[in-house]
Amino acid sequence: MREKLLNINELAVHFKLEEGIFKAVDGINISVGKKETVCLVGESGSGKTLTALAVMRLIPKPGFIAGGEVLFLGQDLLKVQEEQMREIRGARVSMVFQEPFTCLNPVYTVGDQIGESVDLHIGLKGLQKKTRVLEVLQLVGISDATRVYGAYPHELSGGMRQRVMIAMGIVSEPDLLIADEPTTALDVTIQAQILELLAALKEKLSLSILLVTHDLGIVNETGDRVYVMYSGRIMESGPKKDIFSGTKHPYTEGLLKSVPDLGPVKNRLYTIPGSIPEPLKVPGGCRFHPRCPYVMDICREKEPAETKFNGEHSAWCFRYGK
Amino acid sequence: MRKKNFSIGSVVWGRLKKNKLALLGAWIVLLLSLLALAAPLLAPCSPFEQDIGNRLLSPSSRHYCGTDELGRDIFSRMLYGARVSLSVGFIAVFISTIIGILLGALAGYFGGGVDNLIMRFVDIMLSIPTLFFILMLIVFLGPSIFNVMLIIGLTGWTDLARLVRAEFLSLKNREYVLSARVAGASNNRIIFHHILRNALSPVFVSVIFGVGGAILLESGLSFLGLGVQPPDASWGNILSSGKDYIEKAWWLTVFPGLAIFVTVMSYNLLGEGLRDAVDPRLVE
Repeated sequence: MREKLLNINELAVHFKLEEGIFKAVDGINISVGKKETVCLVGESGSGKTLTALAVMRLIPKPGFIAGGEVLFLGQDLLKVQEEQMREIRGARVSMVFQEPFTCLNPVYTVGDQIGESVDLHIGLKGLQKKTRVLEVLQLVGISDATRVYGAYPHELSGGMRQRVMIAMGIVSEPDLLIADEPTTALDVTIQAQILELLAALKEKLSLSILLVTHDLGIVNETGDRVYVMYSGRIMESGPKKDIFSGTKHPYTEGLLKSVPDLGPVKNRLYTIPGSIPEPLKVPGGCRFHPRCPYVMDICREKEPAETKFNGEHSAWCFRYGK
Repeated sequence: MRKKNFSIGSVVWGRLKKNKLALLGAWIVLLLSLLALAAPLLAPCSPFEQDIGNRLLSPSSRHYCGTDELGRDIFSRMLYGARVSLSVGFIAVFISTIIGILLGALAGYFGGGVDNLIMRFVDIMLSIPTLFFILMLIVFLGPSIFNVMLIIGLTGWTDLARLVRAEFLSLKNREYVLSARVAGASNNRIIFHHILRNALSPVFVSVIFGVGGAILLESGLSFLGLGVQPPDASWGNILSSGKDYIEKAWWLTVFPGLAIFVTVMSYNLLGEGLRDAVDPRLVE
């Protein structure tokens, strides 16, 4: 096992609603090793973005972190002072979001915005700052860095903006980059370029990446290890090849079947019946049981425990154990 | 590669240029400011010099706007009065803008108890009739230019605070705010660097309207004898002393009245033009 950079233990994120407490993230364990790309996969509403935000300690209200720990290089981020946390955000751990347009401030130039991180975390000013920003723009594959430096976000294309966002994320050379659906808003060719860029940066900067996505195609291209999340819980986890070719959990199976193949259309595309449980209506027992084709009596009564397979591969399902 | 950088400023200026009335307002505002600044150079006489032998002269080539009951040149007094009126307008609005932005930003950004406290205070301020409140404060503090500026400034920030709060309520949930926070920006930096800069257009419009309003208020107070005290000139107190001679000497009231009217209207025209120019829904 590789040395671990990030260890999320029993993390719980709850939302206080009028009708009760919604456990959006309900006790999950995730680890990210050094120079590793870990994918967190799940449908919308499964809690994957909240997990990412919890690492940054930026859960939106009325949500709150109800328990667990987020160990970053052995230090529990949930316990550090807010000021110290601010020095970690952007400097040691940074985050890239889905919508590159709305994530850039419309009234500042690209240079100003990347420069802000340089200012906050590296403390370079003036010409040195500009040199660093131009350097990082080139690093993310922007060839006409000088023009982009002085451009406003609305003057750039979607792919370009996402490169700028990534540049903002890596400018202070963090250890961990959290990418929340970084390619969802982009078209397919640009998607591939951005994924290549992330892979290249990972090598160059010894970066670890936590990639949040719903797209198994992306997981297949970039991930080292995969966590499959459903309704606030991890369903299956393990190295990419085990997840794809030795699938254990019925939910992962369903997700894989729902990916369209290239080539002639043989059948109607598979979809998992039903939808992810609504907040406060999370079923008892295994939370996937109402949609599971292999549902057994025990699934309705008890939550399954972890079953370990060879290596790091685990699944939480009664088909394999108790 | 694009030649022109489409900054917000150039777009707004482009729209404003097409609005003839707003442009007229802008020119008059500029002209008045220059006249006020250059008052010592332009005034034909001292604004204080009395000449009882030449009292209540009608407008002529020597006294463009006539003379008052003490023989002082009205045109000179009005030039100096412009200095008073405009500086009261600017300084009062400066004070209320600072307070309005600060309290509005705090209320909108932090929400909850802070918001409640600030907005209930605003409600209390708004429930007291402004003029009555100002008169009361002046009675306590005594009438002077400085007090008038201060009091107009300290009472005029409530609308701006509400406006800024509303802007902050919507802007604080923008994703670029989250992404700034992710980059490690402090609350201070997010409020003043990231959000405020995006809320400036409506603030700017409100400031322009505010200057007009403050000038009008100052004139009113001076007219009532609670603003600028004689012998210092202000449009309001020229008007006030002229009212006793309104049947014999129309120029004592018409010229300062006109000055107030034109100034306030210019600011309002400019303000309205700006409001349309910064409106993002308006597309040519």
